[in-house]
Amino acid sequence: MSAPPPPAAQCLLQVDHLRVAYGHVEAVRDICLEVRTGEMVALVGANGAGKSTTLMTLSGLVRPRSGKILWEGQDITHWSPHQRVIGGLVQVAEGRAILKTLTVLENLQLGAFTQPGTPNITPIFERFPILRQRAHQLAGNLSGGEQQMLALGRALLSQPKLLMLDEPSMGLAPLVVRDIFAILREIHEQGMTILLVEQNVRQALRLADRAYVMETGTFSLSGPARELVDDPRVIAAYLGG
Amino acid sequence: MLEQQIVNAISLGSVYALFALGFTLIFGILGVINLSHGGIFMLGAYAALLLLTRVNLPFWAALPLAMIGAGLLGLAIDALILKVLRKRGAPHLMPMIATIGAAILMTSLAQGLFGSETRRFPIDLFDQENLTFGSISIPLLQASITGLSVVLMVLMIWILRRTRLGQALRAIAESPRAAALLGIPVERLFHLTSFVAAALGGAAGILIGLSFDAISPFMGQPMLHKGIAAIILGGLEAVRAAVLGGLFLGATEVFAVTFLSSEYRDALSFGLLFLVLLWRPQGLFGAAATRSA
Ligand SMILES: Nc1ncnc2c1ncn2[C@@H]1O[C@H](COP(=O)(O)OP(=O)(O)OP(=O)(O)O)[C@@H](O)[C@H]1O
Ligand SMILES: [Mg+2]
Repeated sequence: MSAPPPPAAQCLLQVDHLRVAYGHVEAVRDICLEVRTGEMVALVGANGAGKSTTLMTLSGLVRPRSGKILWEGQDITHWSPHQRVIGGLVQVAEGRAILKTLTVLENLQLGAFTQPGTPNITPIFERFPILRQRAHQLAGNLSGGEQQMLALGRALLSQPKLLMLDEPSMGLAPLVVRDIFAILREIHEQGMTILLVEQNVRQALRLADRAYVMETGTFSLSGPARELVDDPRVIAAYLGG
Repeated sequence: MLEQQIVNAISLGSVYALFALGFTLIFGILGVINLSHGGIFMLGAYAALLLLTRVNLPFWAALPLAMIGAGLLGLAIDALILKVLRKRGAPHLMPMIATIGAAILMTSLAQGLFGSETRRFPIDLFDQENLTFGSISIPLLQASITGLSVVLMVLMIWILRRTRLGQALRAIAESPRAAALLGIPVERLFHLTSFVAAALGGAAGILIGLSFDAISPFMGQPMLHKGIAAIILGGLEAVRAAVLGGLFLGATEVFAVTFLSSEYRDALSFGLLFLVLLWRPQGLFGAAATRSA
């Protein structure tokens, strides 16, 4: 463990000794993690390491066994999922959790469900013109890349303070992955705080400020992403040496 | 004569559809087969009977109050039974068994409280006059039953199709998990759905009680079978299809009585159900639908 933990005041999200289990299977074992405002933090690791479980616990869909989640300094461990979204903790789940039986426009409108008034979708249509063209089609008919853009645009409409993304590159062609990462970079440069879960370790480390490497439920390494790219242990395990 | 049968078919079918709509709302949104819906239907009819005969309320006041009572009963079933099972991640069979238990409880309760004999709504509830449209004349009672069912159904379909709440409910129907990640208060909407579905079930109970001029503790079970049949005929989950299924079932029954005999009524409609299942497992009007966790 390199980088010393930042003082709590600067922290948007702070995870304190979190443990999560499914029955007898311990999926997350005693992790501590911080995300500061304006950062892009990557959470990388192999299949089954516990990355999605971590995000689902942060979103309140999975209850932790023990540990605490602090959000802007406040203990939100027992908040319901929708309270967390209202608070600005927003996740794009694994496998693009778009609503296939609703139209593209309806998906976007639901992204703004927690926001008062009529949602203004224009900025999202400007960022993703393809969504405007497909606005009245069922979201299930979009291609994989388009679905990921819809999921991303929809999440942005919830006005996140922290955007958590679970493997946005999953199952997409390399060119499309490049597009998605470029969009993430752009959103981040415009000031969005991001927690990015990825198996695409090289690209994630290139994009992020800091990273945590997760192995069987714990963090084996963490630190500035730039340093981790050159770490021999990371190279051997994830970057194909 | 034929016109009269068509009027009967629409009237009966629209009440079946109303009942089926409540049942399918629970199935589509909570993902639960709620076998206590027939019990709620029956108690809704008794609630209206009590309000009309003991409290001497006029029909227009007794109907919404009885619907609210039925709704609260549905809410209680959700809060006391279904929610507990949800939290535990219980498999599908558990809520079915638990709600069968609730239905049996409600039937016994009604027998204890109101007796097993058939009761009737006061006869002077509706004027004996007819509404005439050209050559067709419709008894006011039948017109009111049909009108109320249609209004409630159209209202529900409008909410589901055209409002933000409806969007959120359809999101939950597809995936409660994805809906929660959008900030939709899923648990709260499960409660709301349970309330509304039960209120519709209670309304159907009152209207069937009026339609057949009979209320009994045992009226829920056959209705439950018909509701399920209507939904299967119409195509599971799709609300519009359940409505069509209800109308179709109503028509089948009325014409079975007219052209065969009343003994064959249920045999024909359920026989038809078998044929539909063999020929079109997705229902007469339905497209195959799926739901993910
Ligand atoms: N709902 C569940 N019930 C039981 N065990 C589960 C459940 N979800 C995940 N697990 C187990 O928890 C562990 C962590 O899974 P998780 O999905 O969090 O990993 P992951 O890092 O996201 O993997 P991937 O990269 O494949 O998405 C795995 O061993 C997995 O089998
Ligand atoms: Mg995962």
